[in-house]
Amino acid sequence: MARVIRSAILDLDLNDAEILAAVEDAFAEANQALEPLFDAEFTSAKWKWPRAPSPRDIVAEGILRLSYKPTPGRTQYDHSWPTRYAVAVHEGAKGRRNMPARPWTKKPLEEFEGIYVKLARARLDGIR
Amino acid sequence: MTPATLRAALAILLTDQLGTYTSPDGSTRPAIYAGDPPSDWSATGLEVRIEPLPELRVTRAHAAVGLTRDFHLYLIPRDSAHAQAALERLVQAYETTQPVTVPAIEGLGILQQYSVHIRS
Repeated sequence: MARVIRSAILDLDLNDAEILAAVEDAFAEANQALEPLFDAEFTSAKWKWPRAPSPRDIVAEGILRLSYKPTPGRTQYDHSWPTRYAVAVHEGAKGRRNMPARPWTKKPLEEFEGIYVKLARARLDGIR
Repeated sequence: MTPATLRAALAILLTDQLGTYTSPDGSTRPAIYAGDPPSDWSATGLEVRIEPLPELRVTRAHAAVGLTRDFHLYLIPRDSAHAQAALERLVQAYETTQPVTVPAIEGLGILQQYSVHIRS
């Protein structure tokens, strides 16, 4: 849907709404693409642990992994794991027994920009 | 910057905020440690723990490669101590990440604490 500005000299067809829609759709799609990447971080046996077996994955009963709750939005997309111990697992914690940090969001978020740019480019290229 | 030099610098920066380690022979020292202190030391007040192995990041810039070290710190307030002033000082003095509050997990003996990274 283009915005048309008419003047005596020329008519301007601005497709800014299409452009905005393209980048917002790409944003949503890129965030959705993170879900399997987060999942792969959980199930990959790459996390160092102070006791055998090490390294190990982050799936004990699977409660944390399966608690994943995305909240999509046009310009902000929230990824959340609403369990009591999610932050301690992600950041690690010091205590009677130390919990090593297992930041399962780190690698996927590092990849996010590349994914988003690629998807946005593809959508923008489709606009005439 | 090494864990030891960071520890020394923070011992000065946070000197009035840090709690105390007490060892079995009764000797005391400021509650800041790179790594894990001996298990027979007890801590009171605000404790600061520095992970001994910084994470290395390689950043590419035009015609150059940069290496930064990322030190992971935990601030554990015990008794009635607070970590707020110490966190504010860290954030002002260093390039840090957003401090994250780690809620307590009583069953695992984990007190509420704060996780933050310092970049050098």
